[in-house]
Amino acid sequence: MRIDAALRALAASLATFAICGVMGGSQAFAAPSIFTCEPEWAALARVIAPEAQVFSATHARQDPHDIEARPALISALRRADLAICTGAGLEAGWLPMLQNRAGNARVMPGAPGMLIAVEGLPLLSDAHHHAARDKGHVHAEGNPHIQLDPRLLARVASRITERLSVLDPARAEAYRARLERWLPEWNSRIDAWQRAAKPLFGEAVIAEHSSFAYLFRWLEMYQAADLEPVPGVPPTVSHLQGLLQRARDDPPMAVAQTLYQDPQSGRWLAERLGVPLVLLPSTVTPDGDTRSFEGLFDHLVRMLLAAREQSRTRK
Amino acid sequence: MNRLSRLSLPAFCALAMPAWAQPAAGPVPHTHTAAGPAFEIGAVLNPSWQSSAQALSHRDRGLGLGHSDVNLDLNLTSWLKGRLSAVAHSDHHKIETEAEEAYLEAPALPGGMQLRAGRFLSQLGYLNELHPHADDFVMRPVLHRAFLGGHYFDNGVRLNWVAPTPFYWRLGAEVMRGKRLPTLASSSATGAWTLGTRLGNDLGNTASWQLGVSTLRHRAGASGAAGEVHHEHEFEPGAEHTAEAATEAAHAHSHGAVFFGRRMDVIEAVWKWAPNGNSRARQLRLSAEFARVGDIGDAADSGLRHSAWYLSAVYRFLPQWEIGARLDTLNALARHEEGFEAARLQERSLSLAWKPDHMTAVRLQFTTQRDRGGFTAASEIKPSNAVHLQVVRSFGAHGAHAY
Repeated sequence: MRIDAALRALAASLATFAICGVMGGSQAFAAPSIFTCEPEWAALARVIAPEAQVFSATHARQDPHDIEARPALISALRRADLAICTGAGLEAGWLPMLQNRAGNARVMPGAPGMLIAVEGLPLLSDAHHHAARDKGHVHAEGNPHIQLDPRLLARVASRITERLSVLDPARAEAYRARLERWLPEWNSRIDAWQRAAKPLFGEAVIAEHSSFAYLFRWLEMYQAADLEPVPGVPPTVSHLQGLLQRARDDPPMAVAQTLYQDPQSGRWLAERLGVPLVLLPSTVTPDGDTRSFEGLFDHLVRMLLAAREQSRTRK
Repeated sequence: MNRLSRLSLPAFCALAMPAWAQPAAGPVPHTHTAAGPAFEIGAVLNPSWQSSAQALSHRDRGLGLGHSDVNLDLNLTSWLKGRLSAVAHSDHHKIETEAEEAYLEAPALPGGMQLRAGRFLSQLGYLNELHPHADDFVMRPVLHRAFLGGHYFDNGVRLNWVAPTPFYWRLGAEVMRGKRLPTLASSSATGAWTLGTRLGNDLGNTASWQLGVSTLRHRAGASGAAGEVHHEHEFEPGAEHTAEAATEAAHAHSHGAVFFGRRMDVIEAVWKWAPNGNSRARQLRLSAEFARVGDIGDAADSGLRHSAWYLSAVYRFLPQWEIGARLDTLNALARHEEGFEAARLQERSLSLAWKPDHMTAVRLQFTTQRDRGGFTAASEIKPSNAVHLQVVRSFGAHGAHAY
């Protein structure tokens, strides 16, 4: 037992030494530089490591499926000690190019500095998710849009803490202490949101893409239909007309879209169905009330409840 | 190290998480590996039709096969990658096939170094290192067609350094065999090298830019007296080749440049803009390259140069629709018995592309060519106008696109 523990400690210190060697002697003691593919991981990283330099490659008004491997992103990844990305194919169109161009061994696939958020998480099955990009390619990795289930966020926060502690052992205690402070508070908030959202139980929503699948599962709502004819393909007129036909007799509570999806199609359908269109941020925003997770989930629950009220009064 | 962090994670999570905070539903458990698949296979099919043949193009009138390929990406180890790609395209009523890429690459060596060896697309200028199936126009700019035979790939070694600067900065050098560039019958010397640097960054939340300069030096013909590298089949499709010309054509076929020089300097600039930075919905892309080809003949002609530039503007006005315009200019010198004569060509293209998904592009393009002085006389082919219709369809793994 003791030998085992000693061996582990030795392995940990060797690994740390190796990582610090790669990071370069001077950087090992500086606050880590964290690159995140999406803003939700940046927000979590700031909770755990407020001293870190955190850079998010995307923001809430950008479609994370379709990001260009811009020079600024390559440069940010080049300097990162830790990169946090969603995985499950979400960044398949751009992260490999960034990794290939950045020349940073710390964040290459499989390296300790590359944290894939969905790793080890039970994902919703979403076999068609990236059909448009990967038709004919085995890609049954599941739905990657996990960030709107606050329970999953807590699990990712734990993994970020653990990974940071390994990469930067000098601050490991601080990282863990912050997580332990944050988790109970977060869990009580989850409780409160769940209580507030009780009236949403069983409500149907038509949404674009599977962007809100985890939010709906968490709040025990369901997505009745998708504005996209095929995942990844923007809504078409014929598909929208088909949806209108199908949903007319028993309209959903609302039509929901993210901030980066074109509201034109959602508005078209919502107007004809006589239900509200809700434009919901799918992640924390650069400014406003929804720039923090607390504000974001407050807002999501409030918007959905308001939409429910609105559709009730219309009926 | 990896093992260690994985071992301790579940234990830590179990401690940190209350039991009820685990997701209650019973979704499909998927296994995720961080390193990605060991290999990926993909293919691109690129059939096209055009109303007439055009100057400095290998595409024939009627139906043809554009740059189509089958490619294999290998993740050999966490630090070593490989790529193989075989290309087919029609070249004057024949289908040509060849291995365009066959290289091993260590993209993340210590200190931001990157090493690649084998056959690959040279990183000279902006477009050359990109795969043609992602282009915004049916044909590469005149600059690439006239000086590099469309696109330049070769056997060689590349070393890049990515600086840890707050903006993107890449320095790169390549040593190439040089056989893919035109060689002179009188010269056995080969070998080429390139040197280049590239800078780029964002401008606020909506725009981004990239600037680069690069140079290519080619030893071929250094001892030769003549600059005669106009391949017969470039200018006289269907004409009988002499044995020597045929050998040369077979050697350099589709990738023989038309206007030769031992030195080529390229300046590239790219600027892109999207409302809210959401390029999926709407995006404006401007790109331009200017190239100067020097050392085109004898030592006595050392001041003589070819030059070419293009300016391309593409606007994605709906997620699936793009409209583009490109202006191309070539100021070349064609060798004649008495010396050199100016050969100027201007090309204007207008294109409309429909991209229903990531795997498909359908493009309608109208391209006009104008002789701006001496081009027809010097090259013996007439510039012409053409309507192009192109379909680009990808299958299987579809690698991430570069900026």
